[in-house]
Amino acid sequence: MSNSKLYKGSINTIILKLLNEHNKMYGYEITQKVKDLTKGELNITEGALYPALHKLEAEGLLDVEIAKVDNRLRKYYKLTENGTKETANKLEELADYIKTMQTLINPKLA
Amino acid sequence: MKLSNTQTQELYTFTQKHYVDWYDVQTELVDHLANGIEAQRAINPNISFQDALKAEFKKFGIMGFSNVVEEKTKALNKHYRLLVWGYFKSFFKLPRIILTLFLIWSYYSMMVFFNNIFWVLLISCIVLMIVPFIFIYRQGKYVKSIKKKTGKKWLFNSIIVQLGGLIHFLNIGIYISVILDLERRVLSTTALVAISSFIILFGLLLYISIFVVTPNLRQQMAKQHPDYKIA
Repeated sequence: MSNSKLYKGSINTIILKLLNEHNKMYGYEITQKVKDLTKGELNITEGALYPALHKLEAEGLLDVEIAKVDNRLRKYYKLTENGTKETANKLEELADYIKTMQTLINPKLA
Repeated sequence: MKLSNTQTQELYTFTQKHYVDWYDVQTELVDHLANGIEAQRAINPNISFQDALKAEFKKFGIMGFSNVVEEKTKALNKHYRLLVWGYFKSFFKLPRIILTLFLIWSYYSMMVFFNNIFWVLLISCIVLMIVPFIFIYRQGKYVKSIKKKTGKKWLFNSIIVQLGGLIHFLNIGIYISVILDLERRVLSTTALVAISSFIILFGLLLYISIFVVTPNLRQQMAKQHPDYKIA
C-alpha cells in the first residue's frame, strides 16, 4: 500500500471483507475495487497484495480456483469456511481499534 | 482491446527474464500485467504494448517480482508444514494414538530384547536417513522430467522436494552423534522410552511428509491448476 503505513496492518482485513462480499475475485480486480471504493484514496500496491493473498491462502483462509478467461489463465480467490469466520473476527478487531483510537483522539465523541 | 496469444506469451517470457522461473507464479503475474495493459489501452489506445508493460511492471516497485516470489515460497512452505502438523496431530487422537503408543512400546521392547542399543539405533538411523535420500533423488528426477516434457517448472514441486523446509529438521544426521553416544551410558527405562518416542515420532513425521502430505499437495495443485497433470 503506497499511501500510508497505517493501512498496512489492515490489508488482510480489506481482502477478506471484499471476498466476503464478492464470492470470488482475482488480484487485479481487488486492487481496482479498493481504488474505486475509496475513490483513489487507497491504493493497494501489487508488491503488497500478492504476498498477502498467498499468506492467507497458505493459512487456509482462502481457496483458489484457476479458470481460462480471455485465452489466459486467471487465479480466483474465495473464502474458505475458516476464512469467513476469520473475516468476522478481523472486522470486529478493526471496529474495536477504531473505537479505541476515537476515544484517544476525540474523547468528546466517544 | 484484449491481448493476443503472442503478447500473452511475451508476458510469460518477460516474467521469466525477471527471475520468475515458476509457471504457477508466472501465471498469476501474467494475468495481472495483461489486465493492467488492457486497462491502459482502453484509456489510451495509442500506447504501445511495450510502454504499457513497462508502466505496469513499475507498479511492482524497485524489487520487481522478487518480493512476490519470495513471499509465495514462504507461504507455500508454511502451507506444507501446516498440512504435516495437521496430520501429525491426528496421531494423538483415537484410534491412531493406540497405534503410536504400540509402535513406541514395540521399539522399546526391541531395544530391551536385543540388549544392544547401538545396533538397533544404528539400523534405525540408517533407514531414517536412506528414506528421505531416496525421496529427494526421485523427486528431483521427477521435477526434471516434467521440465523436459512440458518446459514448465512448478514452485510447489520445489517445495515438495524440500519437504516445505522440514528437510533440514528431518535429517537424522544432525542427531546421529548424540543418539549413538547414548550406547556408552547405562540407560534407565525412562531414557529408553524417551529414545523410542523420539525415533517413532521422527519416523512418523517423515512418513506423513513423504507419503501423506506430498501426494496430497500434488493432488491439490493438479485440481487447482488445469495445466498441471500428475504423471
